[in-house]
Amino acid sequence: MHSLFAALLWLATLLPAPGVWAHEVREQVRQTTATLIQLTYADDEPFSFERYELFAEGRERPVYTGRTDAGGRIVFLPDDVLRWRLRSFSEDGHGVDFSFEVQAVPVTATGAAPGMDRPLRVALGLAAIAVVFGLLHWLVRRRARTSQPG
Amino acid sequence: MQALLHSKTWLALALAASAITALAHDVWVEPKGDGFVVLYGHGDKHDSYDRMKLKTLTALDAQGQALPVRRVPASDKDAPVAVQVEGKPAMTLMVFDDGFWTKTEDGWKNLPKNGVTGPALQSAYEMTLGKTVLVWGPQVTRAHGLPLEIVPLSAKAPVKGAQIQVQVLWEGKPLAGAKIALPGPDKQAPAQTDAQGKASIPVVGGQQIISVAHKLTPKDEPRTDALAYTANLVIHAR
Repeated sequence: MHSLFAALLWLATLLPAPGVWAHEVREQVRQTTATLIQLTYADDEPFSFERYELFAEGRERPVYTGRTDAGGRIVFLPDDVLRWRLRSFSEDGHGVDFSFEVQAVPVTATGAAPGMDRPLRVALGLAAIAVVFGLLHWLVRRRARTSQPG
Repeated sequence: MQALLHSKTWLALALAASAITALAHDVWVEPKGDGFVVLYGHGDKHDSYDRMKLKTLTALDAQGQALPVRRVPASDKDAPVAVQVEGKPAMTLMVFDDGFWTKTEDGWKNLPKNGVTGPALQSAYEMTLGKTVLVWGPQVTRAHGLPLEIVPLSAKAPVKGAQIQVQVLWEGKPLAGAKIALPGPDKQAPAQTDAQGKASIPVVGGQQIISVAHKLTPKDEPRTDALAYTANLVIHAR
């Protein structure tokens, strides 16, 4: 009986504490509408793998940073900002620094986000803990009853 | 597999007109004093280079005959190769082996991709084949056996504001679909060679470098992803 009790306790420790959930990284893959910028040299060769900074109008710090892809492309979501500035330069000094406008198009998800919502996962976790401790409580009481003399 | 993102806006932006290769460096021969120098860079901005990268430099006279060429001490660190030519050169031909170049998180390295630390973002073995026309004549319209070559189709000197007709040859055969950057600040789409490898390029005043690139993908080559040939034709127009 003691070994069963220990096993159930060990099982209970495997359930993550609520604080741990705060540091997990979740993923959502959805299809949406984005803005695509393509940078090429004058002979159409892609301006590939070069660093860039994208600034929303009126902001000193870039909203997006990164590298162009193999095709010299940058993809970003402008949200409700209409005017942007792009800076991208190679180490030998070639590059662009220009401002441009995008159309105001609301970003909408066209695909469902996979996985469970966080409230549902919390509720399931709490239910699992309650079941484990209910089972423990029942086993302890049952043990106590059966061990009483005649 | 469906694309993750749909494009809403395409902004195709042409960068500097002289940029051709992944490294975007030109190499060309230019008269200096009573001789010639081999320059590496863009326009007026020249970078130094390993002089061993210059494999051959040939000078031809108006009849297409090779003239004696000798290297002389260079006076400019950004032009490590200087030569003098005996006779009256009408054209120079050059083979410049720039070697392996690999783009890393820390920038371009003159190394093969299996010789850099960290991930190799992009790599190529770069070879530049240069042709500088000094005197116009029939020899200018001949192919000279370079692997990649731009051949003017007229023996007459180009005139500023007009077009120069050229043919691009790869291993002696017309190269269709090759893209040639157009001069000027307008960020125009490049000219593209037709089925005969021919294209028309606007002529600007002064020195003009017309360049074309051709890339090959080697098989089972751990040192690079591409063999990148660049040919240029340097002309002067008034």
